[in-house]
Amino acid sequence: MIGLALVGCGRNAAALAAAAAASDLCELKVAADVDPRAASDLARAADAKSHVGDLESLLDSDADDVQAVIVNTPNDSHADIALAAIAAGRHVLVEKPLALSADAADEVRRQAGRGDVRLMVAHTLRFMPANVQVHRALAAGELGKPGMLRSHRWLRRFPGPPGGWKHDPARSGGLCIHEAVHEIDQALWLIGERPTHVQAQAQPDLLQIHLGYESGAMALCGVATGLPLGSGYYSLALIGSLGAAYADDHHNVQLVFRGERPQAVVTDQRASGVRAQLDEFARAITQGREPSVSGADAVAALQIAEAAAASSASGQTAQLTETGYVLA
Amino acid sequence: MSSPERYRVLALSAAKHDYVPLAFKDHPRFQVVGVSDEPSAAGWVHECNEQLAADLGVPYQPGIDAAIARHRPHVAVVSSEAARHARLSVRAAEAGLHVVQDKPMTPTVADADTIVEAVERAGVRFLLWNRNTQPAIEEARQLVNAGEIGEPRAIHVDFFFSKDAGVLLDSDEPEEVPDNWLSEGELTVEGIYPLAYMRHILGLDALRAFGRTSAHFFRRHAERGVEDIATVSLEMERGVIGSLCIGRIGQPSHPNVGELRVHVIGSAGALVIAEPRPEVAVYTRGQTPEDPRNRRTDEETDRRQVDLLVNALDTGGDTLLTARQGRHIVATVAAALQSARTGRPCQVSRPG
Repeated sequence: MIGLALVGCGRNAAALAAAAAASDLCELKVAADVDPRAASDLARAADAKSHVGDLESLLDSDADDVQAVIVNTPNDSHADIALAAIAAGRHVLVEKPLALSADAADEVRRQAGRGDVRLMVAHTLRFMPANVQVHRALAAGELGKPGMLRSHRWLRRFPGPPGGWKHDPARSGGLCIHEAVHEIDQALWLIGERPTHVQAQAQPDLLQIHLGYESGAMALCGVATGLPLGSGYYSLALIGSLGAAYADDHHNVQLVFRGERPQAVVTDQRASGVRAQLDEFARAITQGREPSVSGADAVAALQIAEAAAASSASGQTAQLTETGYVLA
Repeated sequence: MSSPERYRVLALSAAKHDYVPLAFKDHPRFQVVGVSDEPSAAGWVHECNEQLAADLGVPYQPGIDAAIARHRPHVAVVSSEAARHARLSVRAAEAGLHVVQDKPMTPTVADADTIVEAVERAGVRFLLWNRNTQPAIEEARQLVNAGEIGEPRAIHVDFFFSKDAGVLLDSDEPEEVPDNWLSEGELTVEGIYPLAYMRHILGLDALRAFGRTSAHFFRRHAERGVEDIATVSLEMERGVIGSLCIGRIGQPSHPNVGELRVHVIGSAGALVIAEPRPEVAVYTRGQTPEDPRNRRTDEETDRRQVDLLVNALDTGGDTLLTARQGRHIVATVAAALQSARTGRPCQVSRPG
């Protein structure tokens, strides 16, 4: 069993702890947070030790128990915590984005490569059960050559106060870095090709990213983060030359009648995805191989996210180069 | 002047589709009186026209001026090849006829401008045939207008539809391209429907477009350099974000007649609407892969569009999709196609 330390016990921590509890490959040993109550609450629920304080002391004091660290803190601390864990010889699973910039992410990737540690980034969409089926059909050749990827992802309003870190682009990286890296990574995964250009439109809680590819393929992805939804909404269509696949909540709604308009209920697949992601991380450690979502994948997504942010800010199209982008 | 008890309708060409003129066949306020076309039309076009005339039980008379003089129609229904749309519609408007026109309005913005100018100069009504009377689209519009999702902030339409277009790109099979295949791209021809949904639901126009196109499926599209799939990002009035994904993606590539969906995001909620619903699923032994399993239940869609036209003709009000609105859709498609060629966003042109 891989012993885990979960650093950051705020939003998302309960899902990660539940995934660890359900896993046969890893277990949560330490719940760490700068907020003592957050750490102790999660530690109690997960039957783990709580830790409050700096990462170095955690890794020193729990050297035997903890082989890997999950970084679940605000975005602006991901890279530093990941680097500290890597320096201490721990494997690292980092919530996306790996860092606030592609360059900073690349430094984490390089450091992980120097040590004998596995670095994985939580591009969770790759592990959602519906998306796994789409990718499986694609990999089996059932869909032929990808031609168009269309996705919609809507999220509830961030529950935190307006002054929280997710509302501060300096700490979150803004919508392109914080959320759209998911869509970009998904496009890289499914189209199997780096785009040549990106056109983006963004508002504080709405984002649209349009990717074009040398092969003629195209991707158009929308994200909304400001909706008063009971749960999220997700829709993906992958159109290939031989077939198409639709991973789509609208196809999968159940109805609830409670006297007024019927309500649509969508089965939440997120818990399965988080668990599959954690198991992949644990397997990669055990098998001494690169995780299926690597640091290089995260850097690639961030490079394109930076281009998307520039496109959105300027209204121009970002032509991607080997190392960055130019606006045209 | 009082409205006639029945508006006389002259079908001007059935080269493209017969469903537009046939929508008037049994309507109590219309009487289809004849079919006509330019004598110079291709042989296969005359054959289509003769068939339509037989289906309607009316005469087919090549020579438009003579047919107008003979039948004294109030309305012309134009369903020719797109390249002749402007010529026929302008000719009808100049003769004082109201015009109902099949998609696409025109291949070029300049052609659309000539129609706008002609119908406004003549003071006649113009209807660009559309699908805005689909029940799901009407429902979306009503929900938005009722403020159910607050102020609209984004609209996204996915419009993937059925029917193949000949052999696939990588196929070795020989292909004979039929005479009536008109070398038009799918965004160019079908884009009117989803773009009209956006206009209808939100009442807003696109200002700037970024497009990507590809001939991904069918050899005839690739050989003629036209698109079978396209993605379009739109900057719309009032800061609304719009987008459209459209494609003729091949018979096997969708569950039914097509995957046609509208997503609207507002300040207080959001909608996801499946355009073909309500529908009924019918499964039978012996169905072929081409047979649609799901069938729309609403058979009054075209009828409602014609009813609305009656109202516009009787009152002098706007039709469901006017010449100016149609022209803006043509301009939006043109901007998206230009963007796809240049790799840069393009402004949607406004009338001069």
